[in-house]
Amino acid sequence: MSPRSDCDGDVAHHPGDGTSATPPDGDSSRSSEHVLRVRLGHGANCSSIGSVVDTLFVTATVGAAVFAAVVAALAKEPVRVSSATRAPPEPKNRRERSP
Amino acid sequence: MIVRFETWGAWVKLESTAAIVALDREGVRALGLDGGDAWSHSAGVSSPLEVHLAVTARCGAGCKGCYLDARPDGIEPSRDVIERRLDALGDAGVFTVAFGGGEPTTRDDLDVLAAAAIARGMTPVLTTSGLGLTDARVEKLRAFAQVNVSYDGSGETYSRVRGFDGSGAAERAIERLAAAGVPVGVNVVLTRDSFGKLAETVTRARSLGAREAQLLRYKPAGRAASLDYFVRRLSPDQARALAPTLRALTHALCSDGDFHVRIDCALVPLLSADDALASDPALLVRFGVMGCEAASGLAAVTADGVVAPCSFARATDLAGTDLARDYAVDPELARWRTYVDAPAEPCASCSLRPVCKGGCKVVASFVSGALGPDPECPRVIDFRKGRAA
Repeated sequence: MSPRSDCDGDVAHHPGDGTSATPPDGDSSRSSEHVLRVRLGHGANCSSIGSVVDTLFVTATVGAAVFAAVVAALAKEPVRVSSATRAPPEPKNRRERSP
Repeated sequence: MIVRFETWGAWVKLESTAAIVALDREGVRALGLDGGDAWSHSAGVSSPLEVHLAVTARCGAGCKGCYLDARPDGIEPSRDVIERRLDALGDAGVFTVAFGGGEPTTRDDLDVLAAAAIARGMTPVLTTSGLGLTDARVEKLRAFAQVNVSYDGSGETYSRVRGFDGSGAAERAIERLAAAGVPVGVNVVLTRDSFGKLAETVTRARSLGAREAQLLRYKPAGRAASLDYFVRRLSPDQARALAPTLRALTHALCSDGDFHVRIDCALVPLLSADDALASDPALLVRFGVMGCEAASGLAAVTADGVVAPCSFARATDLAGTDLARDYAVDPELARWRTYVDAPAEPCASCSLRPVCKGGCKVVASFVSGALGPDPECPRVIDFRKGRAA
């Protein structure tokens, strides 16, 4: 499937409507392994990018709850694909970037 | 949610909860999507996730460390001009646009501009000094996902950082925003003077209604790019104390989940002094901690409309309206990314390198004269001491 935009009116996908592979039984643990990073909150600083760090010092249980909440949201929210999605230019000598 | 494909999977901005999530390709496929052309490339430069947009260069506060050197007669682009810049950011797939300046609340069209950002798929946030923030102006801020008030401490502490005591105005602004139901946080600049008062400052901000404190490293840009920087920056001992301080703040203030502590990108290298964090970089990765993302996940657009790697860095020649098209190929932005891809030691072998990305390039450039290891990073200091010995 080619990436496309629905920001300008195309039909959105809905996880769970048959196009999503989210487990129907709601077992979020099966999909959290595909969550590479979670950045919480809206940093509202206008001069440097900020990251929530209290999550680094909480128990593993609390940390897992953060990921479970994210996976639950992923399973529920309608999907829109950014209109910016496209093949990026490839400058010479680039190495693969991770998030 | 809004999905932005990347070569490795996709960034996803959730809408029911305030979070941005990176999914691998399998995770994206689980949403019923395929990256198509974006996934057929093994490499590529992505657009920024977050852009800091100076909507004015006008400010009468006169903070002695202002990174922009904002002044009362600074330029202020028209609404149309700002909207064209927002068009470009939307086209680039930017998720968050942080309105700043200058003092953005000098504008009377912030409600319109916030709505314009939302209409283009972006989450608008804003930073203000809080000076002159009347109830009428608060009404104009309702569409912002969060507003942060600059608050470095009460009374003398604030005054030592900014050169005047604006703490009362800042405190009233926090209370007004909270009372109006506008999500409010505080930005706390860490200097040699303010660091010792941090727990008191953040506790006070929380009691006034702030839901988050973002801690900022003092940076040598604008009016702060002077010799004064060297006596105002954190001492080496304070830098090493950052992680234990964050741990204590978390335990004191964040246990109920209603209050969060953030650090900015430039503070991340200071975490290298903490053995527990330095030995578990995967933890920082999973919780999305970002070090220097300048010219990569972060960019700035100045009041006169050009792109900079970050708000503190010298602007490039790239027009903000061309960001979607030319972000990957602008030579100055590429120079910053090239350094991050192959940093010098001790960054090259640092466990935190995937997160930290070599520390603050603005500090390095000011102190050392070139992009290089962050000279205030505890690990860099130890490395250089060892080499000198």
